[in-house]
Amino acid sequence: MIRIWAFLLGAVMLFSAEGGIAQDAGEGEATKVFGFAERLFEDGDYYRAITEYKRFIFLFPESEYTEKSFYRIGESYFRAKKWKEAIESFDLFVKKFPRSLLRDEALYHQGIAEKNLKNYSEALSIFQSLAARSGGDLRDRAIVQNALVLVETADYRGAITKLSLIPAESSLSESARSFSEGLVRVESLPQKSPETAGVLAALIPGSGHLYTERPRDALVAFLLNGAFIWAAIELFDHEDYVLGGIVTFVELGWYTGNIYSAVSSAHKYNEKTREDYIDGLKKKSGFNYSFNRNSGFILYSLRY
Amino acid sequence: MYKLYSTLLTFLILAVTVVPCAGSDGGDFGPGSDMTPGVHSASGRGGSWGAEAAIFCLRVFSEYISPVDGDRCTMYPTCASYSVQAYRKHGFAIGTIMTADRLIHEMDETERAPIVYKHGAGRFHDPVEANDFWWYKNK
Repeated sequence: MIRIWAFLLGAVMLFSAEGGIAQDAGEGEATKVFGFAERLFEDGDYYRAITEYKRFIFLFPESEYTEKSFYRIGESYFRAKKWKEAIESFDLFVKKFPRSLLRDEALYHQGIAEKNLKNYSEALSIFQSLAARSGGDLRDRAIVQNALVLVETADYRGAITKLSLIPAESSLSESARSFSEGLVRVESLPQKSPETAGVLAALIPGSGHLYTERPRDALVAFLLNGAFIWAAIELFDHEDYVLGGIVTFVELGWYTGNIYSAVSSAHKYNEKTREDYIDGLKKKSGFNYSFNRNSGFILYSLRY
Repeated sequence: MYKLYSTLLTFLILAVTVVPCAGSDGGDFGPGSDMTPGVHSASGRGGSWGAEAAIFCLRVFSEYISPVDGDRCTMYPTCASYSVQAYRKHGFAIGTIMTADRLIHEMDETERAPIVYKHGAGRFHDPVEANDFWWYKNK
């Protein structure tokens, strides 16, 4: 009888020990797989990191690192500038882990990705919601992003109003003030009138391009139109009406193309002037964001 | 004799200037590609017989003449692909005007357009969206 009890006791101890060893081994394996994914992420090898995080989620769906793996997938796509995939991944994360501490950061990144895809209404909705219910640093960053979206839509006054909401004690207040001051001057930047460019191009092909500071395009437009007009005149002079008609038809394409091109050049000139100025302003104010590899959050390079 | 010369000269000028320079614009999909929409993904107002006829001519040019003629275009998308996209997006009239615009503005655009690596070489990125964006401003 004693032998039977001893045998049963030994069997129970053996099985429980094996279970513990198996559990430890499982956790060890999970840590290793997650650690490898993290290493790839830190090395900037986002494409492979995403695969490893997915592998981790497949192998260890109940692990304490599963939530972070979902977040990291979105972050990897974000850093690789795959905005659409980043939005989908952060969206999945927010739905799957609605109470996560990383939820608002995921939304913040999602908003920036929407902004970069020029989905301005979606981006505005996210940043406005974050600014309304978050506090501290995240609220201020959401306000800044909200203002940057307004800048993209040329609503400079709206952006200035938003930036004025950043409290004086915020680490972003100095940058916000500097950026707002610069925005006031955007509307007085040198511009080229598309109407003037179009009229000039219609009068003398190429002159619209000269006006928009594109001399080589001006020469091309002038020579092409000149050659076709001359050819058409010569053909009609020699009573070759069919060929004259064909050349005139083609010349009409060049002529309208020349006007369109001049108008477009003026718009491009204005857009580039504005973009260069705002990019310079962002750099000067410290609103060109960068990643902090330690925290994983987007930071602003502030001036001191 | 004059008529013969003028006819030959006319067709020579048309052949050299009207047909845009072309190269094949196959998709560069895969890890790390920017997945910029190519010719086949362009959509919009195309479908009129004029636009379809122009696209057909461009396809014939890209398929049979360009390989012999050589890839001379430094832009991305190439002029023929750009033209197809413009015809698909805006129809025959605007597509033709935008094609003429692309051929006129190519030289100075090389100083302004960003460089992308496509078909094994750096090319100046000048998509249709960079030349019709002002239509949609403030709408």
